[in-house]
Amino acid sequence: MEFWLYVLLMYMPSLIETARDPMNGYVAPNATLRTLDCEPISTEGARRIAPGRVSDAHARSDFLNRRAVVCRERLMPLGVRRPQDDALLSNLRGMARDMAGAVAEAAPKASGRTWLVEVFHPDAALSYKIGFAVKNALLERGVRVTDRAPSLAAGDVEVLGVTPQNKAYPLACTRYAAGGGLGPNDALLAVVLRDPRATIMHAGVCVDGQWRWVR
Amino acid sequence: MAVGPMKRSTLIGWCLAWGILSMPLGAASADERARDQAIALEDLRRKIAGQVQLSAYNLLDELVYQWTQSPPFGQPTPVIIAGVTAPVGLGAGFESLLENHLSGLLVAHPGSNVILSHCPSCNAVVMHSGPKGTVVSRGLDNPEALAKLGGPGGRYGLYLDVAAEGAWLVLRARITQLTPDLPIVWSRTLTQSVGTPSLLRQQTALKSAEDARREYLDLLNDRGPFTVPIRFAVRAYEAGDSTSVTPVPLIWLQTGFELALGQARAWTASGMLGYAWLPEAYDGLMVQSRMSRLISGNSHSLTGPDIYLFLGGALVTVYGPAIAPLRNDLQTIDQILRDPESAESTRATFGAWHIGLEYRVGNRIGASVFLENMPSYNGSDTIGVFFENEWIDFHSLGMEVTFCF
Repeated sequence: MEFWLYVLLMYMPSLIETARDPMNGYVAPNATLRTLDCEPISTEGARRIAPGRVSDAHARSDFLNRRAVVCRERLMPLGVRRPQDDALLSNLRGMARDMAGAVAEAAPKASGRTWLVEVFHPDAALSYKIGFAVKNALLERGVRVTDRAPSLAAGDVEVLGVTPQNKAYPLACTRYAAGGGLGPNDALLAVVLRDPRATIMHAGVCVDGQWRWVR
Repeated sequence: MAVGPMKRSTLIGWCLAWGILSMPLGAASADERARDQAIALEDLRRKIAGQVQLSAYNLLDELVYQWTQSPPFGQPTPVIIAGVTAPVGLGAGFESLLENHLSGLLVAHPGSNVILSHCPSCNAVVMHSGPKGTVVSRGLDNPEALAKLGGPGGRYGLYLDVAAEGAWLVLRARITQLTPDLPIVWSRTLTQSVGTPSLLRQQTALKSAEDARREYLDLLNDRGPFTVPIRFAVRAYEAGDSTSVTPVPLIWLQTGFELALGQARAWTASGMLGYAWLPEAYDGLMVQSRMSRLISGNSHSLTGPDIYLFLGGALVTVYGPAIAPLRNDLQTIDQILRDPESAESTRATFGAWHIGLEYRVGNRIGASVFLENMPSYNGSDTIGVFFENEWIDFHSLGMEVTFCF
């Protein structure tokens, strides 16, 4: 019994600390925490931002794991925007960077082409912002990007409208290439909301009439 | 309670009638709630726009500043503001504010080589029919149609988007050449987190954040550690137990130096010389030193008042007929006035130490109050005490106004 009490006493501070850590999510965050935007940072970064708040490690180790999380108040309080839009916009930079990275991986010769970006989201304002962010992220990677939008003939649009989603994008890609909407030196990055309830966007590329999901 | 068949039907009838009557009322209250929520949301959005506005201006300032340092074009080039969009949730009014601010910045900084150009047909909806079909679009998105309308062939369109992403305000900018291929020739993404103070740069003289910080530090250091205070002080005394004659208050003009012992001005030390004079009453000289500690914060405020707690000591010599009550060998005023030589030689010299609080604004002007103990008068019958207590005799209550140069 004494042994277990000793073990409990030894680990109690650590267990309490772990339970209280909002990053672990063991305890439901309160209303104040939900209005914060938190991200982990290095302990060096934390010491620079808030000197004295994160102690230096002892030279001969002190058996403490130091982890720093910086929390900032969100610019848009919860409830001002639709929760789904908010989820998409809160990490727009990261998402755009990931998309640009996925393009670079999927099409190694991406920089030799001119990229068009199309966003398929029911909200026009959100589509515009996502497209803007993705274009900028591609340009930061040194990729040529255009504001041109690929066009389809009216008949193509009519057919695509009744085609199941998993077939519509490859078909559209074929029609872009065949109809001249995408030239031989062009490529299309399509950012797609595949499910209206989703809070992540998928990405597909259309190169030389071939469609491929990349994210 | 038992309810008979007749009573039950009556009850059901009443319930139905009540339900029917209350339906429009319920619908009306739901409408009111929705309207109240919409008003509250609009208020909240307005508040956010007010908070975000300075940050967005800051990002625009930074954008134009970067253009002045590294212009996107080699020579002055006409550019059309093709689109400015605000964070989702904020209105078109915010977009107008951003556009106006950007226009002001670009007009004030021709060195950016971005010359604003007016193009009504660029933002208008145009319809273009050709062999490939009919296209309805904005002029900017269809340069071929724009060229036929006599639009700005070969010019550039500037697109700006401000987005609120979690705790970050993000400004994205891109410049597109208005040719049929619509190539994007320049882009930039700038971010600012919540809580980052806006630099509030002057629209006509943009500076980098580093330069602005240097100027700020220069401003802080401008005064240097030394200041020269000029101080008007009044010391009042109480009459002692053995006399009803209250000593005349001494009015002092003091000057000297004050030394801040750090940039925060948390500790300061001062040394002062003082002169007191009241015609036909007294003359006096004083040497005083003082240590002050800031108690209203860790460092002195540039915008608000500071409060210091101070402790100091003084050596005072005063002489003249009005000084008689300050002498321990008590003489009456009549005795002194009868003997002019005695009046000249009526002198009191004493040491004192004081403790008090100073309220200082902008390190320019201050007001203080203090209590002073004069050890040579401890137990004196001629000088009374303020705030009588068991531990210490405060023989003097003083007030000061200080101007720092």
